[in-house]
Amino acid sequence: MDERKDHLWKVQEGSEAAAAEDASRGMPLGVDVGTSKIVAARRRTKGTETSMQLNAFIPVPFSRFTETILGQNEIPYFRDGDELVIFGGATERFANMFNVETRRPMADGLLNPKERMGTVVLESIMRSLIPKAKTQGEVLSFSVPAASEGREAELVYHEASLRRFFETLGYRAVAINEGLAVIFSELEDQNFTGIGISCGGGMCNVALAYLSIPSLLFGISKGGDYIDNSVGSVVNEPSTRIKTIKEEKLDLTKPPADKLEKALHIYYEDLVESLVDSIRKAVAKADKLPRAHRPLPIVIAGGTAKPKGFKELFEKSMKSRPFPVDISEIRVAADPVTATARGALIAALYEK
Amino acid sequence: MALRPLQGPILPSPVNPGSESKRRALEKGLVCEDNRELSPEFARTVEGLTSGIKDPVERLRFLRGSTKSVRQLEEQIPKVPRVARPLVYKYLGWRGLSLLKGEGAAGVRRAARGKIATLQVMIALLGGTLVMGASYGTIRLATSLSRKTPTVDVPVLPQPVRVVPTPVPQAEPEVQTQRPDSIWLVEKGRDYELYSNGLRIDTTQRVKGTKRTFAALDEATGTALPPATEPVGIVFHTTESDIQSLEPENNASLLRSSKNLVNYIRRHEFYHYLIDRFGRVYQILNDDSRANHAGNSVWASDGKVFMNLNHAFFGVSFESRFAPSGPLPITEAQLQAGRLLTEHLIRRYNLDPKLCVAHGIVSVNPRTRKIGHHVDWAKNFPFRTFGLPDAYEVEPASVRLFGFGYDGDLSKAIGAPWPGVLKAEAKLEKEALSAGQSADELRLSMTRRFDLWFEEQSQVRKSALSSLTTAPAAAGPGVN
Repeated sequence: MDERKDHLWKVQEGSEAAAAEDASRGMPLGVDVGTSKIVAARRRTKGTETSMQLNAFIPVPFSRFTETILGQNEIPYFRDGDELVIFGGATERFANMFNVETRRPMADGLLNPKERMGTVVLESIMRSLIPKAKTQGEVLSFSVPAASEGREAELVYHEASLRRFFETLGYRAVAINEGLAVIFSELEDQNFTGIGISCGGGMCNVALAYLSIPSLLFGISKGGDYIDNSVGSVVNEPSTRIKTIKEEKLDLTKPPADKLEKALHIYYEDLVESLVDSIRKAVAKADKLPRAHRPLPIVIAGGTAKPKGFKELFEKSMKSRPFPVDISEIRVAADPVTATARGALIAALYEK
Repeated sequence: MALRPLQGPILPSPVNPGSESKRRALEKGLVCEDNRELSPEFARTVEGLTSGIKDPVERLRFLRGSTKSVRQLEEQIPKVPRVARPLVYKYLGWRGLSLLKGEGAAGVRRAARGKIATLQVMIALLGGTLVMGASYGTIRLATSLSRKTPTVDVPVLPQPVRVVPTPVPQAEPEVQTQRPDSIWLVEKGRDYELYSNGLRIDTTQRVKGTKRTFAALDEATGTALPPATEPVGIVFHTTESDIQSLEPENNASLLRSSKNLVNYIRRHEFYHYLIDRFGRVYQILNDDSRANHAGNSVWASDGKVFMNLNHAFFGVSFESRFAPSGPLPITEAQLQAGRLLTEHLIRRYNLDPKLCVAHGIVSVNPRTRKIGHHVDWAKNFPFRTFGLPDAYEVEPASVRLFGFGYDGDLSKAIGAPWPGVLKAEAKLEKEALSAGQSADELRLSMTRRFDLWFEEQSQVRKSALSSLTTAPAAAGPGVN
């Protein structure tokens, strides 16, 4: 009559993991506050653990049934009048389901001034990833972009807003440049010397450091969103869908199979060209760079660098014209999405 | 790949800090550029010393510490003879190594201290010669180098404590032949209560809610009876949540699902008790509290009418989704646990079994004057297995006293309504006929009674406990 199974099994397998999770509370944290994703990194006995949430949201009409399903499935949401605001990882699923665009709390690497709910959603997303500090003054390092020309004031507001938010959770918050964080996580074997690039959703951030000290920091306001929006407009598809396709199956080493892939190739090439050109100009223009005693490695991270063939595209662009410093190698981080957060964690542990 | 390295001397440049936050960050070199000169010779020297440092944080600490030291001496170093500079850089590097933390760096620390000691002995022996040959800058440098190497406390990290999982509560088999006459608390632990009928209640999630206060109405007169605080019955619910099949492969998600559900219910104070898919009974709200489980609801028995059952009735919910046909939507473990819990609550609080009912048959919509606003357990609740009278046979007060009807939505959800509704409807039509009215006219006058009685009950409760709100709260997560 009722649901019954003939075999039994051990139910409580999650206890040890839960206990380990509890024990990790109180450790320094690294947080990558990106336009597209928020990634948190913490150190565990077995290594570094990362967790992430999509930095996006979508409102749906309120109903109790929807609310129960969201609540039980730990799909993060909050109620805003007659709407349930779903944020984080489930957003893209819902957006693709309803064929609508997701909304973003951040744009071009900074808090999105045009989004009414931006700060509330961003804080909710961060709360879902970051526990309150176990003891007051624990160190948390968070990523910030480099100040692009004319947007210095916005960066100050962005950085201060994040710092204050983390302080309300009980942390001593320390900002770190995104590109430098990539160097911290990926260039340890090079004694943190080289060029780190974080290709995110809103922008690409570049850092050149010698022995961990940043000598050149800058960013360009082109990133994954630029590709998604541009491709979306030429193939007449929501950019959220383009993003899903881009992240799931784009291979830049293969010739494009259809119009959409062709557009993705074109805008990827455009992004990489712009990025390499900016680096070339910035390095050539910087007359106060310390003298390097050896060629510098370049490491690229961020979700936009994830597609297969990105490194080859970057190399091709680098070879097309002379570059002002010797380069030893170009590589993409082993886990490009979490590299910035892992670098921020190293900064937090250093500051501890 | 590149054509030319950067050429020419790099002059030290003053740092131009911006805001206060940037200034602070600049000191740490994390968000602002720092273009001060860094000698390639120094870089080569310190890089040659990093091979023994395995931890990236310690490596970072060493590099930054050494860089900071050399910058503090940047005015003196140019005065040191070029030939002696590598030794200065090496010394700064060793000093940096001697400051490393952690057990993993103990060997590196020891070796660095040894080298510093050797160098200091050499400096002492050759001091005179060096002083004679060196410039004023060198003297200053030697003074700073002869500072005592700081000692480092190595913190001993506590070993992680392994937490042994709590034993899983097993549903106890029903013992037909040795059924105890009374039910008593056998054992009370920090996180559970065990009763003599085999009921085990997990109390880890128990919270105190708003105190229960309600006033029943006299069915004959519609006047409110004295306010009461003791529970009178139970409303059974289903959680209407995500349910996965009971398979070992789903174990992790089944566990996670239950845990999440408990948290969600506790946050919203939806039920007093939750029975999960493995038959674990969680107490969410303590027995003295009301819960937001029934909202707009009506039930009557023995001349007493109860409206808004959140206060007077316990809310007991099964982690499940209501299904009007097919097998029961609960597991055997849930069935057994639910029966034991019902038995326990009835005995402990002397509840009237006739007041142990299902959410679907008490739920009403006052706006549309319809029954079955929520339909969980509007069919198929195993009353007899629970040792209870069959509430589906009882004419619901919502129809019998207040003339509420039902529409296609209810039929769509559960098929034909339960027998009690059909009986009450037949009586209502008969009554209308004998009064010379249409059924609709009679219903209209009866629904006005609902409004009056509801107001009466609310007023009494308000005056009994003015601090409590008496408006019907939202029902639990049932079917809309």
